[in-house]
Amino acid sequence: MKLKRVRRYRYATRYIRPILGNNVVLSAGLALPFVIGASTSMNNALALTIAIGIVNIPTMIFASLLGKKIPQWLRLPCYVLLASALVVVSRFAVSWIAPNIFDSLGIYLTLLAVNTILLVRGKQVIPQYNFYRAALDGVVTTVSFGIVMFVVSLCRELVGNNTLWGDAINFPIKLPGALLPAFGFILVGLLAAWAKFFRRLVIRYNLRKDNPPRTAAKLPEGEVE
Amino acid sequence: MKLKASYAPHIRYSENAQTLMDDTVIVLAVLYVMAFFYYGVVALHAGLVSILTCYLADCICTKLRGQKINFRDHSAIVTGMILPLLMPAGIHMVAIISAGLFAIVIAKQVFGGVGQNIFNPAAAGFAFTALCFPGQMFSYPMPFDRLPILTETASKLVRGPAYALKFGSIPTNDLVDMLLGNFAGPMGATNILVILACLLFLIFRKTVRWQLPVSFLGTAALYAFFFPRISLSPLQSVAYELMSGMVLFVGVFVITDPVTSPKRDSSKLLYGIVAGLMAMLFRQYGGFEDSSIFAVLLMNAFAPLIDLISEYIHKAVRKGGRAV
Repeated sequence: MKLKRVRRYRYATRYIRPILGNNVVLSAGLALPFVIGASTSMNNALALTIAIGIVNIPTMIFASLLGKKIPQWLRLPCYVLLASALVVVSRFAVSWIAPNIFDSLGIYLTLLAVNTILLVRGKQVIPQYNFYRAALDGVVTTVSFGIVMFVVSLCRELVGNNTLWGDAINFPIKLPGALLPAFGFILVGLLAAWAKFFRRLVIRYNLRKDNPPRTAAKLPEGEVE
Repeated sequence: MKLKASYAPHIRYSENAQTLMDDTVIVLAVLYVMAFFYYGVVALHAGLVSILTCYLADCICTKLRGQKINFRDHSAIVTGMILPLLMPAGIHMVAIISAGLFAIVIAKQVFGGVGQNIFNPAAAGFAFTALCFPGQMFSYPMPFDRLPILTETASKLVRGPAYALKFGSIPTNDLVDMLLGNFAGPMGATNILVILACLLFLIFRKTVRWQLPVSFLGTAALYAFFFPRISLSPLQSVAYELMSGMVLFVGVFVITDPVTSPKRDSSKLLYGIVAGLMAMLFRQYGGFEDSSIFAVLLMNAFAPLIDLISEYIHKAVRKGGRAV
């Protein structure tokens, strides 16, 4: 079986694969509490995406620069300590963008200090990266988190509240149950299934291009299907 | 002699999934007749909309999963028939349609279709709609109020006797009226005598094993007997608790779902007892006046575990028997 196109596709998308193909939330199940619990409005989605970017990107850069120099058992506590300090910075950034958002986020902003994107990738992946790759990884994982947050928040705010960015919208369906965490779980599950479906579709397309199904007309002489 | 080659088993049971569902459809049709008697055409309209929604959703999702539609599978019709019977007559069509879509698409098809679902689809659909429209789902029109089909209902909506029980008050309904179904409540759950007759029919037809509904309702009755919520005699408390809300309907039609309930008879006994206890606790301490549906959903998650425990117990008993 030829895998040239598949390998070429994987190499070309190696940096941006966490955005759609291997989304950190939908494929790896990271940072789920934020996506399920806090994604009830687009304002929340924007605030949390900015906050997670402020927390994760510098911490990942720190992990790439000093990760290998710190003993393994001390790495995560150091990352969490730095992330906690950055959460304070993100709080001011979020308050500057939208002053009322901070109250509605509640504990979710504080939980960013121990978000699983940072803990899992910071422990397993980032220490092997150089400065630029770590920064890119931070940006890419933030974007991938943001995309899922925005999609889920859009659905839940529109269907649950009939609002968009806090402004009332004339939408025919109103289901207040969409604002409950259970609906968030269901929505994330459905999105994860769709992401897997499209990922497999792309791989299958590339495989088919490299290995087209053989017909009788193309078979060599004497060979039977 | 004509010989026909076929795979085992060669001795077929007369019962199959289709006969189970058809028996349930028959008894639910009887309940629809009673609902039509009390509430008019609006009951039939709600049932029709629900059945169409559930059946179409089932067919579309089956095709999307790349499978052939099995026209002999009437499970979606049963789900479609159960949902409006748990709701007030004259409820908005959005509630019925959203319940049907949630029941089939999320609770059934996402898990793999008929026979693969963990949670009872009708229970899940009702639970979703109860969370979305709590005010509408527990406000009922009085029987013999002729309700409009397509326009908003202008008739007076009242709370059922379960609401009075929740706050420790004695319901004002006469027990005889409650037996005959002449009181405000879910469309299909108020016809107590008819539901009991349906239960007997289902047990006689072996569609339902008696262990499940009897243990569920028995536990609920015992709980009401020993821990009455109202200051009446224990027997009156049992009567009011079982006839108000949807405990009886849940015990006959929802908890007895063959897919989501345990398989062994001993497991069914244990399952029914725990479910009955949970249902009464949810009714007493839960947010809604009748949360027995949520107790069923919770127990659905434990059905495989109860089957496993029962299997271990049976193996241990068989080993012990052989040793003796």
